[in-house]
Amino acid sequence: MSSPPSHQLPGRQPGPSENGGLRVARGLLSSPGSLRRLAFVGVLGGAALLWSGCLIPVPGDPIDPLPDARNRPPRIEESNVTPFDRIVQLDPANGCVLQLGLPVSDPDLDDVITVRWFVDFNARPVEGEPQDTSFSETLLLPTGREDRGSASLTLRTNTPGSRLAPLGTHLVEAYVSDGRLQVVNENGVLVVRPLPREVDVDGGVIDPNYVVSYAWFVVTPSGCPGVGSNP
Amino acid sequence: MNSRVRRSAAPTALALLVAGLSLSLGCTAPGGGPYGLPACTSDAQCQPGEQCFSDGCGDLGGDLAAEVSPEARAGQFAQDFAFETVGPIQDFRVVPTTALSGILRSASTEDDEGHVTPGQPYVGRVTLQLAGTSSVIPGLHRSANLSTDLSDGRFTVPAPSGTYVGTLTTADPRFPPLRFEVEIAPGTQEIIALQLPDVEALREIPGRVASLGLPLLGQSLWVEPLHPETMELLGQPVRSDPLTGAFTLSLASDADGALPAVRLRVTPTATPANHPTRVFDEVVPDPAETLELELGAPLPQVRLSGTLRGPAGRVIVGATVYAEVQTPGGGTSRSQSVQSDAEGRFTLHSFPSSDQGARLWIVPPAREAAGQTQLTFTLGALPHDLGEVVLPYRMPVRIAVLDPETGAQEENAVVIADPVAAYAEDLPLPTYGAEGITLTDGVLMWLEPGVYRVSVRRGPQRPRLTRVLAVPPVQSSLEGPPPEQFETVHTTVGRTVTGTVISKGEPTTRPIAGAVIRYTRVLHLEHTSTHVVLAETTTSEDGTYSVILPTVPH
Repeated sequence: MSSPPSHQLPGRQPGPSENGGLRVARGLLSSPGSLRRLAFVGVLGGAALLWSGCLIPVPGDPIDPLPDARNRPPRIEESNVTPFDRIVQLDPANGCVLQLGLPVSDPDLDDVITVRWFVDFNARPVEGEPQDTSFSETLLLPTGREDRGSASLTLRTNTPGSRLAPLGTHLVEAYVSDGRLQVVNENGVLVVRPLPREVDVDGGVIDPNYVVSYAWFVVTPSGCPGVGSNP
Repeated sequence: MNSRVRRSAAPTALALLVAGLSLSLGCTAPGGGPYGLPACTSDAQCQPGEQCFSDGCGDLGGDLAAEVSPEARAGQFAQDFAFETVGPIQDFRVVPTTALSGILRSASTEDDEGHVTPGQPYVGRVTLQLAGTSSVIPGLHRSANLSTDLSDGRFTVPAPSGTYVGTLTTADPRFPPLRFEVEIAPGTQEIIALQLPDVEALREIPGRVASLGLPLLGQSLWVEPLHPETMELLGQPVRSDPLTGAFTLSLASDADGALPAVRLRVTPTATPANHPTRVFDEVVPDPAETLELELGAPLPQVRLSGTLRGPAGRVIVGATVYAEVQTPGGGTSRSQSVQSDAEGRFTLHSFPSSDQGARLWIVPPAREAAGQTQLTFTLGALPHDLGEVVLPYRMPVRIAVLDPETGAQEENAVVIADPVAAYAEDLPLPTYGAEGITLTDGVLMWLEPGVYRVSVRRGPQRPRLTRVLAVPPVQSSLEGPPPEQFETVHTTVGRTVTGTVISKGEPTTRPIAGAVIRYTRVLHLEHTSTHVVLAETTTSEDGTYSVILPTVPH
C-alpha cells in the first residue's frame, strides 16, 4: 500500500481526547433551546453517574488501610510424590536404595521453604538424648513461581549408621515449612513446630508460619546389604 | 524422542584430572586412587566455549536428559527423554500410562507327541515388586508395587520407565518367588508371561530350629532358602513355630526330581532375641528327613558403653552408635542403634563376640566436625566400658561461588552436597550429605571421604550450578584440624527453555497441568554413572513450562 504524498496528508486536527468536550458544549449553547438541552444532558449525566455506581467522596472518617498480607501455608504436591506408594518395600535387587522426592509449592513467592527429614522420629523424649534427631534438612529457594521444585533424599541400608538398616518397618517423615523448624517438648511429647513469623509484644502470634508433613512406611527385608538382626 | 545419551566427557582430561585433583586436594587415595574421580577441576582446563563439568569439559547443553512425571496419583509415572541437544523450545509428549502387563499361568504340559498345552491362568492373590533404575538417567532409582487378587491370571502395574528386576510372589506359600528382568520404555506397555513351576515338582521339606536340642520357646525365626551363590530366594521364607520350632519349606525340584543345595538363613523375627542371625551353608534338603538347624546355646546380652568426644575435646551429642558382632557360634548380629546423650555418653546391648569379632560404629550427626569411626575389639560376656572415645576430624571443605569475570564471591546461594559414591573401594559410602548457605567467604562443610554431587541454587531466573567433588580421607597423622579443601564453582549464564507437556492420549491430545519436569545432565565417573539435576519445574494450567538451563557465555 502506497502512502499519499506529503502535501496531501491531512492537517493535524484536535482529537476527541483533547478538546472534544469543549466542542460539544459550544455546539449545545449555540443553538435555540440550548438551555433545555443542557439541563437534559445534566440530568442524563447524573443518572449515568448513579447508574454506574460512582460515589462522590465526602469528608469523614478515613478509610482503614488494607491489612498486611498474611502468610499462607506451603503445600506438598501429593500427586507427584515419589515413591507414590506410602508403604515401600526395599528390594535387594536394586541394593535397597530409597530415593524420596517431595514436590513443594507455596503461594507466597518470597518464602524460603525448609524441609526437615526424620527417620523413626521418637516423639517420646528420652532424658539426656537430643530432642532433634532429624536426619537432614533441605532448603528450597524462591523460584519466582509457586512451585519450588522437589526436596529429595536418598537413603541406603549399607551406609554407616543407616537408620534403615535394622530389619522391619521404619517411618520416614518430611516436615515442610515456610519458616524455621524446631523440635519442642509439648506436654511430654516431641513435636515439630515452625517458629512464628511475627510475634506480638505479649507473646501472641500475629502471623504464624506453617508446617505440613508427609510420611512413608519403609520395610527393610533381611536380604538388604548391611542388615542384621538385633539382639 | 528417546535417543541415545551422548557422552561428551573429554578423555584427554582424565590424565589431567588425576594429577590435578591429587595436587589440588593434597591427598593420596588409599588403595590406589579415588573411586569415582571427576574429570576436570577448573574451566581453565577446557577449550573456549566449554566449561569444566563433573565428568569433563563440555557444552553445558550436552548430555542432557529429562524426567517428566505427569501425575503419579493417576497412575502416570515418570517417563524419561534423552537429547543430543536442547533448543529454546522443547515439548514433551507423554503417554497416558507406561506399564507392565502380564499373565501368570500354571506350568505348561507336554504330551507324548511333543504338543505343549499352556497352563491355566492363576487365580489367587499375588504381590509384584519392581526395583530398578531409569534406563536413560543413571543413578535414578525406580520402583513399583502391586498387590492384587488375580481372577484370570492377568495383571497390570503402572510404573515409571526403566530397567527392572521383578519379583512375583504368590500368596500360596508353596510356589517360590518368580524373578524376571524387564525394561519398560516410555510410551510402552511391556507384556510378560510368567509360569509357575509344576506343582508335582514342588517338595515340602520339614525342618526344626532348636537351641541345644530344645525348642526356642516363645521365639519365632524366619527361615529363608537362598541360592548358595546369588543369595536369591529359592523358596518363600517361612516362620518357625514359636512353641515347637517346626517349619516347612517348599522347594522346586529339577527335571530329574533332585533338589538343589541351598543356603539357609535363620533370623529372629522380634527383639530382643537370644540368638543372632545364622547361615547354614550347603544344606541338601531331603523331603524324607527333617532338617535340624541347631542354633547353639542362647547368648547373653552384654552392655557396651562409652563417652564420645570430638578431636577438639568437645562431647559429641546425638551420634549414632551400634555394634556389629560375629558371635562365637558363627552367627552375625547388629545391635540396635542408640544416640549419644548430652554428655556424649552411650549405652547399648550386644551379643558377645568371637576374637576381634566386634566392630563398633560411631557416626556423628551431619553438621559435626567430628567424623565417623569404627573400633574393632573382642567383646566378652561382661559389661564393657570403652571409656572416652576420641573421634577424628571430617574433611573441612569450603565451597565458594565465584563470578569468573570479577572474581567476586556470591552470597546467599544454597549449596547441597549429596554423596553418590565411595572414595575408594575399601571405604564406605558416606551416610550424610551437607547443605549450607554461602557467606562472603563461601560455605564450610565437614564431609566424610567420598564422591559428592554438589548443586548450587541461587534463586529465580538463575541457573543451577553443579559439580562433582571428591573428598579424600583425612590424614590420621595430622594434629589439629586438617587444612581446608577449597573448591570453587563458577557462576554461569542461563538460557531459557520453554515448552508444553502433552498427553498423547487417544483420540485427542491434551496439555498436562502439574507435571513435574526435571532436566538432568548425565555424568560418567570412573566406576559409576550418575546424574545432576540442572533445573526443575512444574507445568502451568495450560501445560506449559519454562526453565533456566546453565550454559557458558559465548
